[in-house]
Amino acid sequence: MKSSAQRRTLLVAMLALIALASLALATPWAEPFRRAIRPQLPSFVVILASVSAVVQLVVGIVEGLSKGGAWRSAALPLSLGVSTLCMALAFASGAPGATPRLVPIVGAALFALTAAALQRRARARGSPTRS
Amino acid sequence: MKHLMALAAIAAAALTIGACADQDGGAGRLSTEPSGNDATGDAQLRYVTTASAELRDPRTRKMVAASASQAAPGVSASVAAGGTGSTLQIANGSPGIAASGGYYIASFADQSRHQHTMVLLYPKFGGPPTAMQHYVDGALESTTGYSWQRTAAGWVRASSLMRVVRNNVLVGTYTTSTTTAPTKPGKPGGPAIPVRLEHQPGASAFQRMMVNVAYHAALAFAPQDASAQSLAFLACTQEWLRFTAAAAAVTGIIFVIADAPALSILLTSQYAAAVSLMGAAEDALLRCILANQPPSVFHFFGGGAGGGGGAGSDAGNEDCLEGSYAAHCTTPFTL
Repeated sequence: MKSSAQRRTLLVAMLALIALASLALATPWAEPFRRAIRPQLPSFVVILASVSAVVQLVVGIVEGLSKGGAWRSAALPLSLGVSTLCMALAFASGAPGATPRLVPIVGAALFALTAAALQRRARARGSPTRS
Repeated sequence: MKHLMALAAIAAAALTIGACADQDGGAGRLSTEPSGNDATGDAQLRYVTTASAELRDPRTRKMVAASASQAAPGVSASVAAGGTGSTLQIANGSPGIAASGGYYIASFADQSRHQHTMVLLYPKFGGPPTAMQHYVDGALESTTGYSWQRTAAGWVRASSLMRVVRNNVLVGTYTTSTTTAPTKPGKPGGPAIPVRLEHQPGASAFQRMMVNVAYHAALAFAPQDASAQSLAFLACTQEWLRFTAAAAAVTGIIFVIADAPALSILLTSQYAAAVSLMGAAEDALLRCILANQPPSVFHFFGGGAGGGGGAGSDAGNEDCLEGSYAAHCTTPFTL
């Protein structure tokens, strides 16, 4: 994102979209839809999160090693990778319609928030005048 | 974070509006009570409702017609036969109208701790309920069948047949029939009764939509009774934690995307995975809330897979939807 205003707009739009989607999913009319997507969600999360996690972790490790121990720059992809790996682990069984497990989700949340903080810090360091 | 709090506040406000609107102040708009001008559509409509009642004579054990003027000895009758009364109208879009066949069950306890259960049965093509059953402490107290006349503004009750039962014995019936009457009063068929115009003018379409959305969101998120809400919360603590953590993960990814120099495929896939995880957590939470919502059940047939109540939802109970008092209609709903 180029400007702070664009970033803020994107942030608000995405959060609003998620909030509205959550509310819509909770209405009685969405019950058939929820029932329809329920079996697909675990496998979707496992496949998508596993691929993303592997790529992020590889990127992080390669970046850390290639810069001669500069693991600070590798922290962001590693955090994202671990977070996404935790998402996949939440559905480790992969059974259709399975309920996600609590501990991996908490791990995913912690690492995602860490990644957000790292990303923000990296951006602030890259362009100190903006923020 | 400010935006998050603002969104949370908006969601909370919507839920509060929906929950509060279910109280008396909002009843006209949210219940199946006729709702003023919305229900009329055509201000020239006039209706006449006639009623008749039949009660079981405790001595002869026969059903006798009852009226205020000529009640049979030993029979307490307070229903005027052949009189007039107000009509029952349901406006289009009222929450009590179903889109497909099914049933709605609602329970509450009165001050004497008797458990009342109301079952509304809907026909396959949806619309207002065609039958209502009332149970007290699991025993059938009354069953009522309705027939409705479709109008441009919604539905008008054409007739109803209420049967009162005590200890599995029919003790009384009460019928109403509504006919469209001439617009001028004093014509044959009884005095014309204007459609309910005493209500305040209805809200705008946008306001109605907002209230309906908030009402359904509140209904879906939590039962309306405060103690039941706390019970549902305690029973679903794990699900709430899962949902909160998943929402936090989505928020983190969104912040990463917003601060990232460019939106990569990798971030997009992570976002999709996080949103799916949150969807699964929300689905589990909603299932838990609904499972721990003892007083109210909302179930419609049309879904196909049908995980829930089962017994009464198959074909073969069409007569139940017509308000039949047959045993197979009442048994599945004896709670």
